[in-house]
This record gives sequence, C-alpha cells and structure tokens, in this order.
Amino acid sequence: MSLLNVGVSALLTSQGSLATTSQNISNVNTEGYNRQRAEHVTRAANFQGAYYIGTGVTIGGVERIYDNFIASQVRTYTSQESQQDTFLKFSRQIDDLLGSPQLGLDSGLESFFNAVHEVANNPTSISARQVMLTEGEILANRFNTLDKQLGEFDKQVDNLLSVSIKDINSLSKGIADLNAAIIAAGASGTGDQPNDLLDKRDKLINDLSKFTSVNIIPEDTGALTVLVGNGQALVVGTANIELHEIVDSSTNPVRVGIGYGPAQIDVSAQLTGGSIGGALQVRSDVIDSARTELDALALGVTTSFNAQHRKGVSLNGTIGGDLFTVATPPATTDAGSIRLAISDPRDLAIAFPVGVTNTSVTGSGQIEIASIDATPPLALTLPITLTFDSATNQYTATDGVNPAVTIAYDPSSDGGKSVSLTAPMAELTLVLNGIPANGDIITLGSSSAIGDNRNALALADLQIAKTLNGGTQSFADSYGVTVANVATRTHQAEIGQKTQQGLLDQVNLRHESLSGVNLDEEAANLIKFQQAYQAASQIITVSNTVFNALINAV
Amino acid sequence: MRISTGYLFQQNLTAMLNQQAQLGNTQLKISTGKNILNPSDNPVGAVEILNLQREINLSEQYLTNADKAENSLTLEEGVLDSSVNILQRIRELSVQGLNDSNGQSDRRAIAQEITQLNKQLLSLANTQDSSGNYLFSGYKSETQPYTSIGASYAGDSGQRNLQVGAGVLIETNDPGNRVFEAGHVQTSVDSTAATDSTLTITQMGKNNSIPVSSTVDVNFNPGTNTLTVTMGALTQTVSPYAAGDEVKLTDLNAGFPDFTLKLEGNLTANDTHQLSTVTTEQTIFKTINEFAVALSNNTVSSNDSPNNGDFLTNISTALDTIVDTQAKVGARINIIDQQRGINEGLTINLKKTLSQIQDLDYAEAISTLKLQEIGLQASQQTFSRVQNLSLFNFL
Repeated sequence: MSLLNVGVSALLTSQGSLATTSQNISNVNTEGYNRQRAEHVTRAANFQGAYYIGTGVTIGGVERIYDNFIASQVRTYTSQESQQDTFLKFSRQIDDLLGSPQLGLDSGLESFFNAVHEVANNPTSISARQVMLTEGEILANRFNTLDKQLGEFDKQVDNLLSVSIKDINSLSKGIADLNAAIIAAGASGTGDQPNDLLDKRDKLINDLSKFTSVNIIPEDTGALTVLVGNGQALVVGTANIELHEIVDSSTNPVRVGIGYGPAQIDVSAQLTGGSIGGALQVRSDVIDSARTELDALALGVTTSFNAQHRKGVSLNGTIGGDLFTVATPPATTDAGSIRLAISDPRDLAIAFPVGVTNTSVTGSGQIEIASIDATPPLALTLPITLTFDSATNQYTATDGVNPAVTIAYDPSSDGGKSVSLTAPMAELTLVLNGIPANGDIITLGSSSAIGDNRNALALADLQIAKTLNGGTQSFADSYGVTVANVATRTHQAEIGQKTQQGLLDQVNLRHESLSGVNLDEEAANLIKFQQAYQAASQIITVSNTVFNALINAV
Repeated sequence: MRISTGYLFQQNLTAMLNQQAQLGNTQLKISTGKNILNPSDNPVGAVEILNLQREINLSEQYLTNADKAENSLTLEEGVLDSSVNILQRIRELSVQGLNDSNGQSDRRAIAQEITQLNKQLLSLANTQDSSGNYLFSGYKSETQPYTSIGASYAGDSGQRNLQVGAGVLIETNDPGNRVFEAGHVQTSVDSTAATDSTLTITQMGKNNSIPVSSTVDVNFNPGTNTLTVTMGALTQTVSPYAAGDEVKLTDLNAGFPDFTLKLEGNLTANDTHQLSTVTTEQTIFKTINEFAVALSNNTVSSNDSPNNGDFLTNISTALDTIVDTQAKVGARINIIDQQRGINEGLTINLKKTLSQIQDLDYAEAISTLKLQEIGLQASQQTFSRVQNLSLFNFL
C-alpha cells in the first residue's frame, strides 16, 4: 500500500506548504513578521532487501527566513536614526525660536538702540525717553521669553525621558516574558523554532532600539540577554531589570535622570543612541549652551548699560542708577530674570554730571569732556579748575583737595589733543582745542543740563562696542553666534538624519528582501503547491485504480 | 533581487510623501518670498542676514539722525542769517549816527531804531525750536540764554552732538556765548600826567586796539616842539608839532594802531598822555545798547566814556564771530550731506546684498515647483499602477 502512503504524504506536505504560503500571504502587512518556508524532506526509504523504495515526502520543519547579522544592523541604524531624528525635532524648534523676527533678540536690540538714538536726538523729549523705556522693557521681555521657551524645551526633554523609561520597562518585561515562552517551547522537545514568538521578540527588541542602542547576547537556552548603555543588562533570561525616573539635582532647576535597577544608579550619561540619546544630546549641545550664551548676553547687556548709565545724570539731577536688573542666584545669571530697573522716564540718565564753564577767558581755548572714565558709583570732586600758563604752555588742574596736575598743551600744535585725568582727581578724558590766553581759567563743574545728550550718545555707542567675549563681540555679534551655533547644529542634524535614514532604508531593504513577503512569489508558490497537491491527488486516484484493477481481477 | 510587497508599498509611499514635503517647502518659499525660512536652512547666510539687517538698521538710524541734525542746523543758519542782516543794518545806522552832521534829535531817532533792532537781535538769540528748546543755551535747553539786553549768558557751553555716521559726531548747536559774545575793546586816554594839554582821538580806524599790557604814550616836549609817540619799542616823532595838528599814527609807522590824534591847549608843559585798550568779553546786546544810549545822549565823541569810537570795531568783531559760526554751521551741513550720501549708498548696497541672500529667485523657485509637481504626479501615477500589478489578478 506504499503507493497510497506516498500519495497521502505528498498531499499532506503540499497542504503544509499551502498553509505556510497562506500564512505568509495573510501576514503580508504584519509588522515584524518574517516569511516562513516549509522544508520538504524525503521520508526514510523502505529497504527491500536489495534496494530502497522511497516512502514519500514530509515537512522537515517550517523555517523562518531570517539573518541575525542584518537584524542587528537594522537595530543599530534604527537607534542611530532615532537619535538624529529626536535631536532634529528639538533643534529645529529652537532654531525657529531664535530666528523668529517676533521673538529673536536681534530685532529687540535694534529697536532698543534706535530708541536710545532718538533720545540722543531729543534729550528733552519725555516721549522719546518713554519710548526708550518701553523698548528696554520689550528687550528684557524678549530675554525672558527666550529663556522661558528654552526652559520649556528642557521640560519636554524631561517628559520624553520619563515616558521613554516607562516604555522601555514594558518592552523589557515583554522580552523577558517571550524569553520564558521561547525557553518553554524549546523545552517541549519538539526541537523546532517557535517562529512567531521569535518574530515578536525581535520586534520588541527593535522597538527598544528606537529608545536607546541595545546589544544582544544569545543564550544556549534560546533566551536573549539585552544590554543597554555600557553594559547594563535590561533582560537576563526570564527576568527584566527596570529603569527608574530619578531626580538629577546637578542643575538648577532639577531635571529628570535615568536610574538603573533597584539601586537607581544614574545611567543618564551612559545611555547613547535612540530617542533618549538624541534628547540628552540636544539638551547638552543645544538647549544648555544656548541658555548659557543667552545668560552671558543678558549679563553683558546689564553690566554694560548699567555701568554707562550710572555715569550719567537724570533729569532730576541725580546720578543715574541701574538701567537693568538681573537676578544673580549663586554663580549663575538668568536671562529669564532680566528686568528694566527704571519706570520713570525722568530717571533716565542721559546727561553727563560734569560740564565745562569758561570762568575767565580771553583766548579761544576750549575744553570738552569726551568721556567719564571713573567706575560708578561716581565720586567726582568738583569743580576742577584748569588755568593756562602761556609761558610754559600748560594747564594746571586743581580741585582744591588733590595734588594739582599739569597738562601740557601747545596751542600751535596740540589742537584736538586728548588727555585723561586720573585718580585721585576725577577720572575724565578731555579734548583740548583752540588758543587759550595766559591766565585763562576753565572750570569743570557739576552739571545736570536737560539738553545734554552725551550719556545717550555713550549708551548708543554700546550697539557697536565690542564688549563681550574678551572685547571681540558686540551684543548683536554674540547673539549671531548663538543663532549660528544652533543653526549649524540643526543643519548637521538634518544631514545626519538623512544619512541615517538612508542607511536604515538600505538595511531595511536588505532585511525585507530576505525576510519580507512578496505576494507574487507567494501566488506562484500557491500555484506550485496547488499543482503538487493535484498531482498527489492523482497518485491517490492511480492507487485506487490499481487497487480496483486488482480487486476486479480477483 | 526579490523585494517584499510591503516594503515596495512603503518605499513608494515614503517617496511620495517626501516629494509632497519638498513641494510644500517650495510653495512656502514662494508664498513668503524668502529663500531662507529657518536659520538652519543656511546657517552662514542666516547670520549674514542678521548682520546685514543690523547694518541697515544702523545706517537708517544715522539717516534719521542726519535729518534731525540738519533740521537743527538749518534753523540755526536761518537765525544767524537774520542776525547778520540786523548787525549790518545797525552798523550802517551807527556809521550814519556817528557822522558829525547829525544833531542830537537825529541821533536820538537813529538810536531808537538801533534799540529796536537790538531787541530783535536779542529775540533771535532766544530762538526756540518746535519743541520749545532754546537754540543758543548749550545743554540748558530750557533756560533762556539772554533774559534781557543787559543780562549775561545763562546757558552753558554744551554742544549737542548727533551721530550721523559710524564714528561721525556732528555738533548741532552753538552756545550763545560763542555766537553773541565777542571781544569788546574799550580805548581810554589817561591824562593824569598832563597839566595843560588835552588829547583827542579824532578818528579810529578798524585796527585800533592796542595790544594787551601795552600802552601808547604821547609826549609833547615844548622845548623842541616835538611830539613823541611810543608803543613798546616803537618810537616816532613829529616835529615841529603845533597845537591842533592831526597825526595819523599808521602814517608814522604801520606798527601803530589806526588812530588819528590831536593835542590841544597851551602846550607849554612837558605833558604825557597814555592810551590803552581794554578787551573784555561782552554780549553784543550790551555793546549795542551802550552805544545806542550814548548816541541818544549825543555823547559819542572819542573822549567820552565809554569810548564809542571803538563801537565800529566791536560790531565788526561781533559780525566776524557770527559769520564764523555761519561758516561752521555750513561746513557741518556739508558733512551731514556727505554722510547722508555715504549712508544712503551703503543702505542700498546692503539691501541689495541682503536681497541676494534672503530673497527668493522666483524664476528658479517656480521652475523647481513645476518640476516637483511633475515628480509628485508621476510617482502618484506609478504608485497606483504598480500597486495594481499582482499575480493574484490572474489566478
């Protein structure tokens, strides 16, 4: 009856292949599914004394078409692409923020300086002063808003981390459970692979690699050990080790860190790749550095403006106070805390507190005060009288308290000469001009004239003065550097993301071309196995016919 | 190579979505007209845009400042022009008034006119701009520089600078004490050492001031009938000299001041008269007023005190001072015009450069859009076609 047996074996085997093909077709859109193939093997032949007669075919096993090396490449590139993608998502938003004409500091600084110029043009105009105060407030607001927005991004990174930790824990739990199931399946002794469980586990590991880069170590039992960071095991055998959201108090305000295992050891710095790696990288490379630079700029603006403003005198005749305040909590300045310190336009110190009067002059000698060099708070001992002696060609400056100072001035050649008076006498830079007569006395006395715009001009000069970064950058230069840094990092990340996406696409293609389902192929297989099935049916028919012939012959 | 059906679908879809995104980006560029939408599109260009915008802003601010400065200076120029006209009229009137053919009533009438003109001059010195700030009070914009004809300057010597270019500061005002005050010379004759003669200055030329700390000594020696004129090391004699002879000093020596003198009286004693000039800074109003009072009182001879023979000199000095200021104001306006030209040219160039970096090349963008549109259409069509291809259709 071997013919019938052979026929039946062929029928069953074809059925098995048809079932596998149908499984492939039905899972064409299942994520993580690897196509399967039923392997046909001949059954053990019957020894007939002198020869062997075949006994048909059977399914040796259902194989999963899968390459471990390609799968590990997919994980690696998934993790790298995810890192760049996360970096880019944040970086782009910061890039947008800093470059926005409504929020960026560049236009804020420009408007403020325009207002300062207008005050210099109209020192007596209260409305011009009010505009300057308003623009100053807007500038401070822009600092505050930028700082707040950057702070929001920091919080978003925190959120991403805490959500990722939960997801990673559920994934590692899933992998550990699947490890157990796979060990059990292996232990059942059938010796064959539980393909669908393996697919599921591979899918989970792949999902895990979107969060952080992972390393896989296969165990003899069929379980996989999953490592993250620089060797922290997430899954060992059938157990998973949880990550925890911990408080990273190394910064102010505190933020979220990642703790490992029951001891909650901080592994934030060790986790690379994936969305966690990208978020941590964008936090340190873009958010933190932009905030630091912004803080430095806020401090620079405050310091420079205050120093110059305190050299001036207000409409009320009082020496100028601070123009901006900025909170300086221990060791750090905060761009979020910069505020305008003045609310009354009359308090703007637009004039110089020192003026020149010609007490007793017959010649054409002139002295102008070019700048006030003393560091505020000003302690000017005034008046200072300068008496010219034409015999020695020098002015003698006295303030009645400190030792007299002589200033050489040859009227025939020294016109336009710039001279600095130094401490202990009032620290001023004077410009000497004209031809003074012998005995001419010029007095530098205190002044608080309403139409004096000298300090406004000095304040306006801060626009182009290189006051930051060791005297190499103006305010706008410094902001430009911040914008450029973020833009460059974003641009790099764009290119990096595209590169990683391309690599991921390639390796996915390789993986899919090996393991993915092709419907045309399956259709062809369907025809092939259908034909084999039909042929096998014919074997049964023939066997029946042969049997009938035998019966009828009896 | 075999390819999986799902991946083929995914790949086609991704390609289509990418084309859509690019199309969207091009469309956004066209609708904003900008080539750089975010700094990261072109980090170098973005920073350059920031720099250019700042430069343009500054340049435009300099232009605004230049307008403001020129307004102030044009106003000042107008006031100075009027002042010069008034002073010239006063000068004409005073020359007319000093003419000896005038009787006291004529002189009084002229003096009245001069007083009226002086008031006008004073009000010019107290000119306010449209914001009510005094033009000629230095930094003390709200202080009236000259409250009355006789008052001294109440402002300060501040000169308000405006920035009209990078590093270019322009003075936009002149303090009144450098416009309406000038050296005022007063020549006096000291005859305390003379017993029987009187010295009269019959005429004073324009160059009539005796140098500071120097005197002109006029001595008559009846023994030799010699008149000796000494100024420092310079000595000249006239001999014989008879009472009433007029001596023009510059004829004796060009080094002398331009006086014409005559000595009258018995001329029997050896007499010496000493002439000296005192120069003081004084407001032009006060100088004019003193003259007008003297003219009105008909006390304008050279020997009267104050010596109004000096008046023409003094008014010339005052005129020179104002004309000097006019020249300075004119020069400043020229500098402003130059700077305006520079800044306007700069602004145009900067804007051109900015536009090259920032603005979209529409022709290029639209052809790109067209191309992307065709690309998207093509991939949409091929997508549906390829997806229709299946062996299952033939089973």
